[in-house]
Amino acid sequence: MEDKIPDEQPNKLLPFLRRLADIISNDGDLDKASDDILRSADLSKDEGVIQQLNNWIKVLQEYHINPDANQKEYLTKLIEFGIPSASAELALARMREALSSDIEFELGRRNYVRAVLLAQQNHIPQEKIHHFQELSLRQFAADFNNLPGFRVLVKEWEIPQNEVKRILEQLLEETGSQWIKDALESSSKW
Amino acid sequence: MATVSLYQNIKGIPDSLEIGESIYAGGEGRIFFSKDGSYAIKIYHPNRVGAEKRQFLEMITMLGSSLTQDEAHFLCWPLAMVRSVGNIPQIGCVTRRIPASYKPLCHFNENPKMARDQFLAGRSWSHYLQIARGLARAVAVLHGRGCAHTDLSYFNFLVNPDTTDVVLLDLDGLVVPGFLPAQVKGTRGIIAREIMLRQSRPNELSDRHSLAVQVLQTLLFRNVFKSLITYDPSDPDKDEEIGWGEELAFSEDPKDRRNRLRLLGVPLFQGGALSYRMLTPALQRLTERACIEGLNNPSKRPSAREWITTLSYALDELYRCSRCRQHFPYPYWLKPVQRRTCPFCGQRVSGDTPSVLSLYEPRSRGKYAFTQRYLVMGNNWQLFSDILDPQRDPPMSRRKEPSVGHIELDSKNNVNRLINDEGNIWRVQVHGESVVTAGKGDSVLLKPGAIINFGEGRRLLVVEE
Repeated sequence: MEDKIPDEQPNKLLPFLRRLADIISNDGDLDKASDDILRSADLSKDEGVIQQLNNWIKVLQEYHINPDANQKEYLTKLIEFGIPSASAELALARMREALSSDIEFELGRRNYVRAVLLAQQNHIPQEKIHHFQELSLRQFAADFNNLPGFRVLVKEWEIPQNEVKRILEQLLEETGSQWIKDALESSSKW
Repeated sequence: MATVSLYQNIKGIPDSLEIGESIYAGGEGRIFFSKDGSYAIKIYHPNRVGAEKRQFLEMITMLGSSLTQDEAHFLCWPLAMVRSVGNIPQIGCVTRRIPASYKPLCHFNENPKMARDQFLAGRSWSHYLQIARGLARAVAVLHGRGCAHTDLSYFNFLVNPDTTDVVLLDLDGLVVPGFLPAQVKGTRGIIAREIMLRQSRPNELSDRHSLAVQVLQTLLFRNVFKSLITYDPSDPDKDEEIGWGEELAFSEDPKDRRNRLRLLGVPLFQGGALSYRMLTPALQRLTERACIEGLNNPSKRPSAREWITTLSYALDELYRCSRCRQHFPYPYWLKPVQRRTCPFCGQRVSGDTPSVLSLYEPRSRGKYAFTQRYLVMGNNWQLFSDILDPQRDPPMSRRKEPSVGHIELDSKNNVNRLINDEGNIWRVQVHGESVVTAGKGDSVLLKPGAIINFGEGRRLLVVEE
């Protein structure tokens, strides 16, 4: 097992990885950022370091353009280019966070199902995905009164029976709707 | 009893846990055990951590999802985040609960008395060597991932003295350059000098200092930097600050004798203190790099991986004292043999001395290079296959490792013989004489100068004495 442990001196560029990830996520000025980073690290004349930085930028840009691709592939590439796995994972996670603005947009227009889809594609924490799923289910039940759609979502997202019951009971208490009451009664037979 | 609600759970951790009373309260927070006995829950004091703590913990928890099963065994990584306790939002994290058979490292290595208690319980210094290797392994995995621990105190290592397994705790303060800043400075006495002097922030290189302190404390039963001088008699706190900081000095620095113990090198069981000079030459070199060259030059400090390798090699250089039955590195570097004594009881090495062999690695065009590694082979010593494999370092356990040979004492001629227990034919040459072959069941006389070739692509042994 210990054979896998890389033995290397700490990399001087590493402290700037987060900044790089942020700039790429926000489509910032990469040339200026690269110059700043190399100057700050006092490595402007080190060809090897410049090449390393360019490699990092290339991989992060690819990931930015194609965030739905296999994350492990990008992680492996970053590790191959000298980034320790923890830093590489956190850089990619940070870039995924930037994607949350797209999710915010979908939430803003109450397209909760699309928000769940984006969150799942981008490995957003499970906690948030659960929250968006609940918003979707409440919408299908209380706003759309769409029982078949509600059931499809429950099945697809593997929502536990007790969770479905809790959501419907809460909605019943809030709205007193007969439709919700019927849905609640029938849900026990699903 | 309260219910802790969790999120960001990984690897089958439930969404909520029942907890009882707090079992420990520290500066950062309180620790609870789950009612089912499987988990430990740390809840931070709300007024003592900032909002960013939650974000840091989420990042650390996420990093744990890619641990291998083996790594998860010796790193007590956060497995889930605490959302609330009894519906009150709280910041905290959940780890697995380490079995009670594991005790803090300080129960074993703080002073020679503790070691002696362990020896009386049937354990040996070779156990300590393996524990030291376990410490290095846990740290090596963190460093290999680009994380630093920043508080490698002996309270944060739990040890099972029977299996010598080590678990590293308190990973909620990990440092990842650029992402997770250092949240703690560490524990005084273990902290690197540059951190004490606020010249640097805790990082991997300062961890290397702390690891060296722990490894040497585990092997020598003393903090090798302990100050013997009072720098400020009026203020004990200030005194410690100076002794562990600005005036930090290795107790065996040949150019700085301030912290040199009076009974250094006197056998431990006679009230003396173990010297790093009892360690193998390779471990002595690492100690000098860590404690002398690396004291003020962090980049000189040996990595955790170097410690693992060198401690592993040391396990093949042990000898058992005929009087106190304690294992210690056989001091083949001391000549003549009469100078070799047990560092524990002072007994002089005599009688059936072990054979000492050096290990060579195959290179291109039939050439071999010295590995800087020695084997000390006494009666019944086993030659495991990993020793001959140039692709491998010693494994953490040799329980499943096949033995390809063993040593038997030829009492008639007063020499050791290496018995071939495998199918391969061995070829032996002594001082350019004709080659002798040894098949399964045959033996090789371990005469100084003998070169034992175990077959193509394998390491080669040369008998030194």
